[in-house]
Amino acid sequence: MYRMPKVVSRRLGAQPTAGPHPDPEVMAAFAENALPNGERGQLLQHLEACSDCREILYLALPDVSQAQKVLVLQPRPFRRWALGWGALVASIAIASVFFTASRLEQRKQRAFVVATAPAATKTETRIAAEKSPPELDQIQAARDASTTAVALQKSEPKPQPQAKRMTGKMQPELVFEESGQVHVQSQEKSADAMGALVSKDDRQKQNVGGGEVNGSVAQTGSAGKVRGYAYARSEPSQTKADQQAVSGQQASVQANAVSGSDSEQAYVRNSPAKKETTETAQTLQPTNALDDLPAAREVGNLTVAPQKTSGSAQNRKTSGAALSDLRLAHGSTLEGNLDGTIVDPSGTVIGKAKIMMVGPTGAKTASSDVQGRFSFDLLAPGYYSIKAWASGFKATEIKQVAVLDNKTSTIQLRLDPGSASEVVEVTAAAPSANEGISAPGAPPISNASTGLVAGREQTGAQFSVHKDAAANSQQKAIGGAIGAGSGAAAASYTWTLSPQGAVQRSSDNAKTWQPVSVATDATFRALSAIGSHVWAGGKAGALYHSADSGQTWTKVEPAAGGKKLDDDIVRVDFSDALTGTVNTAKGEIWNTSDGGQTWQRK
Amino acid sequence: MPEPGVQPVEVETKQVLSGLESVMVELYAKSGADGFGISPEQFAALIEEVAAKSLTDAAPPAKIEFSKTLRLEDLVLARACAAGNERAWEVFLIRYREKLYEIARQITREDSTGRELADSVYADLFGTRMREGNRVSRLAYYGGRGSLDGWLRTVLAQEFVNTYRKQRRTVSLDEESEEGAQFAATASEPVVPPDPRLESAIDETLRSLESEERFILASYFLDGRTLAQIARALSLHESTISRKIEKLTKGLRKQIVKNLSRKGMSRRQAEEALSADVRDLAVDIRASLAQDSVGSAFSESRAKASEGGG
Repeated sequence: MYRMPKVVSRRLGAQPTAGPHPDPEVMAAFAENALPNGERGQLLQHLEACSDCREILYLALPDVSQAQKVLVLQPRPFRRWALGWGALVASIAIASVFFTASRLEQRKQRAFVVATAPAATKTETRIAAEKSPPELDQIQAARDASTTAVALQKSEPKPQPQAKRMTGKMQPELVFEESGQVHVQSQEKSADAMGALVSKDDRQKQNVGGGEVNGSVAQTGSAGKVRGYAYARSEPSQTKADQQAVSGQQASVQANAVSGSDSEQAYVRNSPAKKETTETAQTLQPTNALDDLPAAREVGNLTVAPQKTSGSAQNRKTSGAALSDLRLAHGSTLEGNLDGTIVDPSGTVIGKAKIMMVGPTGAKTASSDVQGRFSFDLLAPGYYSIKAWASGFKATEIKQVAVLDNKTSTIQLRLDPGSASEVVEVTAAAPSANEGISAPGAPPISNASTGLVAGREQTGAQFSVHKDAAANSQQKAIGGAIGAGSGAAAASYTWTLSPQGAVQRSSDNAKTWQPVSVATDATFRALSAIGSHVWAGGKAGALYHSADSGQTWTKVEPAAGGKKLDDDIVRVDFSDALTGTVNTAKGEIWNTSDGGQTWQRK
Repeated sequence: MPEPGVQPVEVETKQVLSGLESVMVELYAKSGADGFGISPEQFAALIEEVAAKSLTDAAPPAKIEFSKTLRLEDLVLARACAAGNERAWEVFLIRYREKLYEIARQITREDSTGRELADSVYADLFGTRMREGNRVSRLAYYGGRGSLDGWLRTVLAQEFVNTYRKQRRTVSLDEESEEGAQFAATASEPVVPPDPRLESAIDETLRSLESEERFILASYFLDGRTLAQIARALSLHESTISRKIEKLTKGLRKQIVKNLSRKGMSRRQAEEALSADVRDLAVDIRASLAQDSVGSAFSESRAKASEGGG
């Protein structure tokens, strides 16, 4: 098919081989299109001239079906260019579609205006009509009539479909009381998962049929972010109201508020298409939820059970969003926080510990501060695994740590001395009666770990929120305490130097200070504290170290290359228990990486 | 309480991990390394080692980007196997034992040879060699840049090319003669060398091509690879390869003729030189005069070649 002069083939085959033969690592990456451009070019330079390596490459190529799994397409410069232009064209097309749609909408509205316009406009229409054939007039008239009818229809309140028994699957609703208790309002079990997404703008426009629909979440003072949730506040003698709200995901919302003495509640449904909305609206019927309770069902990672309660509408704030629609496992729009403290067996805080949290949306990392504290904010509700390790301590992992929306969970992790390659795994400890948290399939949480709500009590009937997230206060630890001493607060100090050069510490966040005896004749000018390790530096090379938060001190005499540190120390800086730097007034810099046993001088 | 007017100095330590460290922690979680007994420190050291081998730029941003491109699950599995982790070997056997045999069969196109090849490579992977008292596993050389599957394929292919091809070159004379093969005498060297201007023009033209283009030409014309195979090797579509080859072959001829013209040949001469190599001419005549007296054909062709050469 293609021809090349033999002499050219010979010269092609006589090219000298460039570079050493590539190793299988590079060849495999090349075959899978996983090499960067520069390295790829170098390999090609070799392959063009080396028949052996070409043979290896072709022998190693996977089958077509396997190649589809293995290949990683990296955009080449040309492809990137084409992709960029393609994206631009696509965005222009999308923008033009939206523009056209909005223009059509405007025209429809204008048609309504035209229908009620003064005579002049009608005259124009009449004149135009006179010139056109009669059939066209009829068509135009029909069109105008339908347009007008549509426009008129829009302005009129839609006839509300009669409430019927719901067939869609409703989620139990969380009812937040003033006392902070949360009850689950049971709903009739139905086939489709329902929830509501209402944009804030749409929420403001809604005031249909005597009912009021608000988009704010029942609980105030949320610690986390909540976006786009709607609920309908029920009022007595409220008629059913239909509303359509457009969210970014084109969910349509209907709120049916049904009058009734005991079950004055509104709930909203979410249906994927408008058609379905219309149909389901007709089949929607709220229930009193007293007679027919659905069984407890698992929602996301939490087990939600209905509550057999009744109460006045005023005591009950309804959330339009069912628990499942919070999308606990993935893509949740509600968020909670997780705070914690790392301590050692004596309760002393451990700073610079590394903490890794793995949960529904992936992994996050943090490091504890000088007071052993760490925090993870804006987490999707769910169960998380927390692992912590620090130099000189065993790694510890806690599983099934619950994070709820709009709440701050707090844990305390105790690290035992040892090697980091050893791992201590902990799951949540046992609860006391009538309190606490239960994760499905996991042992309940200890009494010390109140402050969170999730899961199911023994009766399977009621959830309790023990602390309001509005306070955003530190809550008791959950499941993090290992062994004895769970819930015990770790001692943490703040350190300072007085004007006279004395070391002082505070255990109450600098409200009061206590002097710390270090050395009788030492005056200090520099201080560094990390965890329980404290370093104080002063005149004439005075350097002292405490490993127990100032209870005992050891004098350190840095020396390097036959020279001792005898200059005034002006700065001490330790990044962890072992690694630090001491600066002197003359500009000397002394480093240690083994806790002061050996020093290097610059 | 501190004296009035005195501001307490709170000493704080750094709270935030560096970008590289936090990426390492995340990658560690994703890789499943802890399941094979690899600690975070060992994992970080492993990534450092691979990065040092492959990267010229040791800056943290480059390391971070590089780390994210690695096949971490495969990498930790391979290194855990190299370290002798039993669980890792269990996983490796489940995933790759049969696959090794399958790949070897595809490469060798023969069941028994394929099995032999797979067993030999498997032993290498397990590490039957000892160095300074330590077992050396070939899996320690896997760096995670491509998939472990692809790496195993390449290792098998390399082993096959190195070992089995060499064996095939050595044939038994007895077996061959029994089969009727005749062993020809070594062909004599061509007396007339080709025009050096031709070779120079061709080399110049070939050098002006990109490496990928030369690779495509070599694969198609020298190795006899199909368009589909070349397309798969370069992760391109078959039609793209087809167009490239067509464009290259046309462009090559034009460019060589142009170069020859610049070197003093006329266009006609250049076309002729390109169309017919003297060596091919000699062979053709020899073949076409096979029934006649071979001696006269040789003497005539040599005379003509000596007149026409230069």
